[in-house]
Amino acid sequence: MNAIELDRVTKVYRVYQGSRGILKELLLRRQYHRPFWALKEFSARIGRATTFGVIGDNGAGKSTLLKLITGTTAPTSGTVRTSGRVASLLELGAGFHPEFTGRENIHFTAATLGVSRQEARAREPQIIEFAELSEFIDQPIKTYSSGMYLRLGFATATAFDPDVLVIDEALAVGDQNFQKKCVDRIHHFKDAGRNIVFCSHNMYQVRQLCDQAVWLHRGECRATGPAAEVVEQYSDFQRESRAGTRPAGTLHPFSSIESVALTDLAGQPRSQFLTGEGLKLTVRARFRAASQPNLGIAIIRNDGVVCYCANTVEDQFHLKEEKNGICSATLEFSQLPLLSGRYHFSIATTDERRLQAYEIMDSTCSFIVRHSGSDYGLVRLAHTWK
Amino acid sequence: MSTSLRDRLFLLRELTLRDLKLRYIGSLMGLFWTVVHPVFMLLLYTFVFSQVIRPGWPQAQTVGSFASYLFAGLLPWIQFHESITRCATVFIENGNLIKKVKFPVELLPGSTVLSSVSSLLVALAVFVAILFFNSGAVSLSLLWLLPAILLQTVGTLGAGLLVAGTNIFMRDIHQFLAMGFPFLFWATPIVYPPASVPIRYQWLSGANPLTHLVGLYRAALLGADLPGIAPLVYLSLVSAGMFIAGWALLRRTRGILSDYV
Repeated sequence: MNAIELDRVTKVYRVYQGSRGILKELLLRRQYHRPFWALKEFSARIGRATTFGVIGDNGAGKSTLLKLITGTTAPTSGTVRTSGRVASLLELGAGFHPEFTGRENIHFTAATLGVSRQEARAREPQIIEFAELSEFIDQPIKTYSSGMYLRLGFATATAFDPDVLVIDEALAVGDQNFQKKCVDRIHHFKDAGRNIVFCSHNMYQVRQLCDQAVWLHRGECRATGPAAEVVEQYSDFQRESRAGTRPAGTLHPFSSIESVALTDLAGQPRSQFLTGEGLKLTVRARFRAASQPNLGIAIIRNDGVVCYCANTVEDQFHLKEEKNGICSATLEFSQLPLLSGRYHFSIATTDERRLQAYEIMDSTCSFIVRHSGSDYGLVRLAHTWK
Repeated sequence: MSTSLRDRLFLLRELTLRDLKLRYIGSLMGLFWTVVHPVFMLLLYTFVFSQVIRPGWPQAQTVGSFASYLFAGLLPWIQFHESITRCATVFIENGNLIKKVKFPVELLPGSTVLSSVSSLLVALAVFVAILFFNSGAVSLSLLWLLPAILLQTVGTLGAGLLVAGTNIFMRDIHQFLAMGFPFLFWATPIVYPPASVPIRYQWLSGANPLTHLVGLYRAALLGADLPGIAPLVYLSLVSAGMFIAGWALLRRTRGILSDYV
């Protein structure tokens, strides 16, 4: 029998606009939320004594998957089955109450794990010893340092022979010494044939620790299998996307700016212009949100002065849809009035109300403008003398 | 993996104890407040309604017997009011547990109600002791306390679950409670005798289950007339109905609760 079984698990979060959304939805029976698919039809069978790695970009659904396995959130559809005691190290000391002593908190945590009073009593000395808290165990937790708190959290969470251990790479507890004790304990679990679910951005760690792994991409499984192979595939993908024009700045997995090109009016790439010449900026972006998206473009001088901003919603321009869900738009200035200086573009994609930024690409396509004549200032404004 | 009933009961006990301790942790007189609070309320109401306003109780001619009548009505009200008020925010206050620990969430309103019921039990014990001290005898009618406490616990738990669940999705439940409680308080014959309600408003008084609950407590503690079969059946049905509705709401929302807290 498998230790963890996930069968076509989907988790959809409802993103409401404003707090009245839920109430309106209840009363008017219309949809006032945007669904956010954190995980789509995900299935996995994790056998006993397996260390299972979860990798992927930010927002890929890793945390959601761990929460589902831990049981702190329920799937929208599909089933999650785990056997035995699941210990989560995602939030150390999450159930602790600051007013109670360390000892009281150990017992309370034990109760939430379904551990009997006798067993909790029996394990108490080991926990206190492991957490190195013998002097302070009868003090309220609010007097603890953050290190002491985390040490007690780790010691308690791992004390009651968990069958499945859910770990985040962010697991950093106390000083070097204690850190080593934690890592040793985790390896001890692994050697003892327990299940570990491990989520990390550190490919080296995943390869070292895990037997199996899954690569999640926008809520979907991109690859699964032996950890080394999955890590390879994911690393390839990471290198590819880094080589492209994609910056790290994705705020929301609803959109991604795929390419940006600065050209003259004839379509030739350029980065130097004369005042009065024309330029075109073509942006191609992928949108996953159902509603009409907005693309905003700003020209910014190198001292931070925002020269001009244009956006498609304001100008009532509909993004042109290409294939594969990619939209494109070209912003054209037929006669650039900017005077000499260094400039760049900032590009943002937002929802149609321009409230929520999906992605912001700062400082891209920088260009230089030169002008002849003795104009002085930011732009050449049309003027007459009378 | 679902936690067994035994685990849940154990956790419920731990949570209730934790709540009781928490309420009195660091306070000077600890659990003594459980007694002090209702006694103070009693003195206050007795003074106001015997010295300032005189509602004219037929069953209670002296100040002492008036105080007993008041107290028998006030005790269940205090517990009800306190439970519901605290249940409204119990999920938000324990957001940490709900979001980060795998946790049977229904235990939170459950332990809130239980801890408040245990305060009620202490206050009742004090009250019964005073009554015994005064009259020197214990009446068998005290046995009516058992169904009274049971119905109150079940009904309060149901209402608590409803309020707690609703507050997650609609944070202004407090505003409703702020209006609802004074309404309920004055719709219940606590500081005035049931008979003083004008005939044309009797239906309102009768529709309020708390009227019958208070009546049951008065019958148990003071040997007043029992509310009658129909009102008692009505009270039981409302209690059970509340509980079923609260439970149904919780069943529907428990999985997504942690996403909204």
